[in-house]
Amino acid sequence: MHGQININIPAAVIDNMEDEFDPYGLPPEVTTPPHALIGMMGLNITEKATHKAVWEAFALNRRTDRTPLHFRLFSNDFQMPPMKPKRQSYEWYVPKGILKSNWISKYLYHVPALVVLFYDLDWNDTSWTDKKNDLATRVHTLKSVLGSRNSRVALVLIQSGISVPGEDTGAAEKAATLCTACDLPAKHLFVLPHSDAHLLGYTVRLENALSEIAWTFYLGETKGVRAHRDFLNKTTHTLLFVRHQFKLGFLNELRNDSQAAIKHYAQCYHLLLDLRSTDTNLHEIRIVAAVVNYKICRLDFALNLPRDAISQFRRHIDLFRQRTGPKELIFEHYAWLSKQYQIFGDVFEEAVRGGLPAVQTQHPGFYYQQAAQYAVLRRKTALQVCKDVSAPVSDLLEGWSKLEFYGQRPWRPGKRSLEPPEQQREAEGIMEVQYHEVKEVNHSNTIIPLFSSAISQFKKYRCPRIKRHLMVQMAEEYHQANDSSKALTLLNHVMWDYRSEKWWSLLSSVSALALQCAYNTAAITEYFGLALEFMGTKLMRSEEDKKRVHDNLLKLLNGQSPDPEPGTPPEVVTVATEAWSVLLGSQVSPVTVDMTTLVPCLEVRASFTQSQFHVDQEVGVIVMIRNSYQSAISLSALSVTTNSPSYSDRLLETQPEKLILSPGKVTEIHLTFLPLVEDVGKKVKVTGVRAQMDVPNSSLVVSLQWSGPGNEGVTMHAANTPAFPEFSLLYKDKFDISLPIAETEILPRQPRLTVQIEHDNTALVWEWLPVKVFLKNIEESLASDISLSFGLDPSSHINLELATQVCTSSGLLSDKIGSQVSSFSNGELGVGEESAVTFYVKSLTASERVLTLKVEYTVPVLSGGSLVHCPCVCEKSIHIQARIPFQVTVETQSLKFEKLARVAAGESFLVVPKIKCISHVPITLTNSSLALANEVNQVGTEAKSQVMNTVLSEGEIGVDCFCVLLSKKATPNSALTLGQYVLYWKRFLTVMYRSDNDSPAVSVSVGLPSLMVEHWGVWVDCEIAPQGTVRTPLALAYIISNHGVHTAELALNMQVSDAFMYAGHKEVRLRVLPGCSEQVTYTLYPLLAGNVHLPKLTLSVESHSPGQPTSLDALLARILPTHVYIMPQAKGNDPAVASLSTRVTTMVVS
Amino acid sequence: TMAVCVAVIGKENSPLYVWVGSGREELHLHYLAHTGLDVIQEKVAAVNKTPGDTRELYLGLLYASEEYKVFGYTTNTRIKFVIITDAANTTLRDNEIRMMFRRLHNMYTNVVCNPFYIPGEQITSREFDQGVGALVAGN
Repeated sequence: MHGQININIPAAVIDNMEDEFDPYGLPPEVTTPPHALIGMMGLNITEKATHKAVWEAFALNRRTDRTPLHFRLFSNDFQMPPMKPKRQSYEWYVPKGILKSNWISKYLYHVPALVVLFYDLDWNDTSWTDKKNDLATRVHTLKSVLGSRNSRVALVLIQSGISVPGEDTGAAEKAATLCTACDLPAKHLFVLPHSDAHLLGYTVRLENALSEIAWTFYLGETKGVRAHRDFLNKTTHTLLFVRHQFKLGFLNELRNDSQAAIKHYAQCYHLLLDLRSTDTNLHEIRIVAAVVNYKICRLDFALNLPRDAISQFRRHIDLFRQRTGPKELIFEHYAWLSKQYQIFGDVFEEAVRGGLPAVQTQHPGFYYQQAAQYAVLRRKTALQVCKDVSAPVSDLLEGWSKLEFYGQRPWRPGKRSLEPPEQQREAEGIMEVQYHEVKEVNHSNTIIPLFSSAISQFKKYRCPRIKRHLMVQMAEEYHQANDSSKALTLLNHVMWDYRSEKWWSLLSSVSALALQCAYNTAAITEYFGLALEFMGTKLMRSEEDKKRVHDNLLKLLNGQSPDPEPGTPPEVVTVATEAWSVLLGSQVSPVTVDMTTLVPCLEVRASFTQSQFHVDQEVGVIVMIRNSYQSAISLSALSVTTNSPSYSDRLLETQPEKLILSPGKVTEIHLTFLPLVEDVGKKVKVTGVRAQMDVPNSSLVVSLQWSGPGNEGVTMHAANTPAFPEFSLLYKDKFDISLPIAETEILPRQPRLTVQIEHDNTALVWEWLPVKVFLKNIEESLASDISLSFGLDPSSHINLELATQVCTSSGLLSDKIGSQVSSFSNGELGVGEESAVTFYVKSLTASERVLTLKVEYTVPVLSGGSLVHCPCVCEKSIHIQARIPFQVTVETQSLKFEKLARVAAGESFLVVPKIKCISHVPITLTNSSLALANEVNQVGTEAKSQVMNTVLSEGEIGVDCFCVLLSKKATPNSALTLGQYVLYWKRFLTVMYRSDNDSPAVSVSVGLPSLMVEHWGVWVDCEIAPQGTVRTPLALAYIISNHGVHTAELALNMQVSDAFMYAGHKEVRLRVLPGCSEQVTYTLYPLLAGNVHLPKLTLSVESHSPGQPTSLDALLARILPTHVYIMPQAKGNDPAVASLSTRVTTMVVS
Repeated sequence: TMAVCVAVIGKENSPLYVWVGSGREELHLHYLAHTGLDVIQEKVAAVNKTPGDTRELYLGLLYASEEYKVFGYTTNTRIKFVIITDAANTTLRDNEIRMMFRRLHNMYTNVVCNPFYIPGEQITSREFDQGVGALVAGN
């Protein structure tokens, strides 16, 4: 007997193997990562805290960046597995299999590369010698346990103090003696101080040193394996070539040399393919191939050679895909293939978790997918070939999990021959495998997790459609495993997407399965929905099929269980029928089917007939229902819900004759309701459509509901909605392209009150333009609470708002007038009555204005059976263009009507405004006045306006005139602002406006020009008759007054004139005291008739008082008359001419 | 035959035309054509990220299963063409597949030019049927 050793595998490992033994998978020890095994002795972790700390530092929480080592705690009485006796010759040795199943475990768990003996010993320990001897004994005992195995031994002294090298010469000496006593090389002695906090650091350094020692052990083992090779021959030992290469690969893995390991494994795989294979040993070969392939792929990924790994796997599959093995065990082939893909998927996934980037077209999901498909194929073929398998009589499969060699048959272990030794036993064995396959293997437990792994991978790598396809397959698997409810849940997710992408072929297939699942689980809501979809045109089903499903629906409505879907196994039918009858026996609550997520045979469109309704109109709603099933479907009720619940009772149709939906037709159902007054200004929205199916005297009520945001009253997957709305004209079927009016606005009632506005389109700036509003009630009842709002349109510019005033006649005198008159109450109007209101609009700028009039009133209306006051509103706008009516220019003139820019204090002068009319209509100037500054006064208090009640038409000019006197106290040499000219005016009314009340006159103020004030010390008044007669003496007097504060010395000169002879001083000197005056008189004797030049008077001031001009010519020219009218001498003594000679004094007033 | 399945798929990924060779698993090929859209979408998205005025319409091999190879092509109006061949058919060159797609594109253009065809609707055209028949037969 060879190597049949009793090894103490940990109990947990054995349990695992029993639980999960899979004859087609990898043995668990193969997938364990091979790490060098280091045994630790002398650590008492239960009692000594320091030992526990040391052990944990080595063995626990090993991170991946640490050296790959496996530490095991050895008790003092541990035993090594016994050695086989060394074979002297291989000449007669025939191997019984390829890979021994205990070999890997032996190196992983039982043959340590190195045993480390821990011992508490300080260099200065008091009982040093005793402990040294004790230690030497222990080492010797250990060595004898290790026996002829080449496992190394190392010694670690756990010390409490830190020894500084070189300081304590005794330490080196003691170490040397210790090594000699223990017969260990000096390199195998280590010191581990535990006193300080750097234990982990020491451990890492120590384990690196230990790993070096351990790896020399494995190197030695490989040499041993190589040494065997020389004895082998190629006829009987072909299996050993494979085995040795595997061992070399594995030992190199243990010593952490992946490159060398890959080389040996590749060689191993190559040699394995060279083996002659028959149906008898095929299974062994493919299991070993799987092991070696796994090793190669895993190492390739670990070395970051994913392409190598993938191509190795491809090659592996290609090589074995055709080697199916015996027909009776064909399922084993698929089981094995499925396992290969699964294993590779796992290895790939592990590499991805380690940082390998995967892409959409190359990721582990594809391998899981293929694994799942082969697993399905495995079951399929198993069910085919094992149809009539019967329970086995003997247990030939006993010990299947504990065979000496990987992949051998339990009924003929260790058989070398390529031909089955016993036909009978072979047949029985195969039958037992078949029986095991169909009776003891739960295939779904394999297949479903594979699909699940694949789905999560495809989800991760953005393949939603492949994921959905896998979900369908997974659902099929759940259905097979009699878990129809899980299947249905999966399918519901998938179908949604197939509907929205309109892949009807896929939906058809999925929906058939879903219907089956819904039947099996008596899921009535889903069953109903799926059935209605099944009956539609989009699912490619035969008419008979559809009819069958429809009959089932009718049965359900009548309270009976539906018939099973074709192909349902009888035991499932029994369970399902039971479930249905329980459900239908108890169910009274109505079933609601959400139709919006389906592509059902009934489609709806609910639409308002218009997008706006007046509150006194009936609102129309049309529900169109298209029945695409092959025969008529009857509803028991149809209702439309809106966002306002008060209309629900009106939006209901229950007459059965209207609710028969003919096949292939669109049935229209018209509903109406009267809106509520409260809903004026609001929008009423369709929120859903609900159809009810039931049968009299049946407890089952099914509601089909179209609702939810976005699909109010329409079928969401409106299957025929045009892809390009641009081409909707080409569609013949209006049902598909009609856009439902989903909401309608409730408008106020149409007013029946006529409103007429009369006004002049052109307004004059500043005037109060009357705007007359005539109202007439043509309602059938009293209009009450009439209220008018009139004013500038709210959208007008802010500048216009400030420059516009609107008021009613009563508001004309108010000083707070805005651009709006709001809610001017106008009482009520009986039927047929009329009334009128006048508004006044004042435009302060010449621009266009839009004014709006809003008339609101209420009128009693019959609504919903009761009398309510219905508000009505009508609005009108008018346009008014304002223009400037006239221009005013003001001049100042001297009393001689000459233009005047300067005026002396105490002088009188004229203010002459000129008014030019540019208005399109005549205007009436009603009055005018001056508002003067303090320094000026009007001459003559009773002086009236010259333009009062003057009517001016376009282009005409009116001139006004006022005489004013400048006060003597006016500040000389300053500009004087005179004040304002105020003009009162209004539009001249003609008969063309139907105005019985006049618009009021308005005033316009115009600024008067400013004048320079002069100061003269001397003033001259002239007294002369207005006219004289030829050869009749005429008196002329000049009164010279001194207004200054100094005495004025004046030189007076009177020039000669051709028109007169005169008597009086020609040249004279005058002295005028301040505040006094002197008079110089002349008697003129006119010689010529006509308007003749008077003799010119010149005055000059001789006293040089400051601020006074020496010549007074400028003043005299302005204030003294230059001419006088001389009449010819009368032929007779005409009294009329004589009366004209009355002396008139010109107005020179101080 | 050159192909076992030819599919024309619309802008919003719904099928406009699917031809499956007789005797083939029709449903399975429909699934394959549909799942090919995953790769097409990714490829088109990847191209759209890099600006460039000319885009290669032929997308090449989308993916291969044990039995079939799935090839893709997309027009500038986001119409997708999918051609599925037998994985065992190793004589087909990439260039031949490319030419098949070009021909299919031309045929599709003719369909769209028909004033009675509504874009986005299923293609029901005898000429197109015959064209696809000739295409897959390799004539």
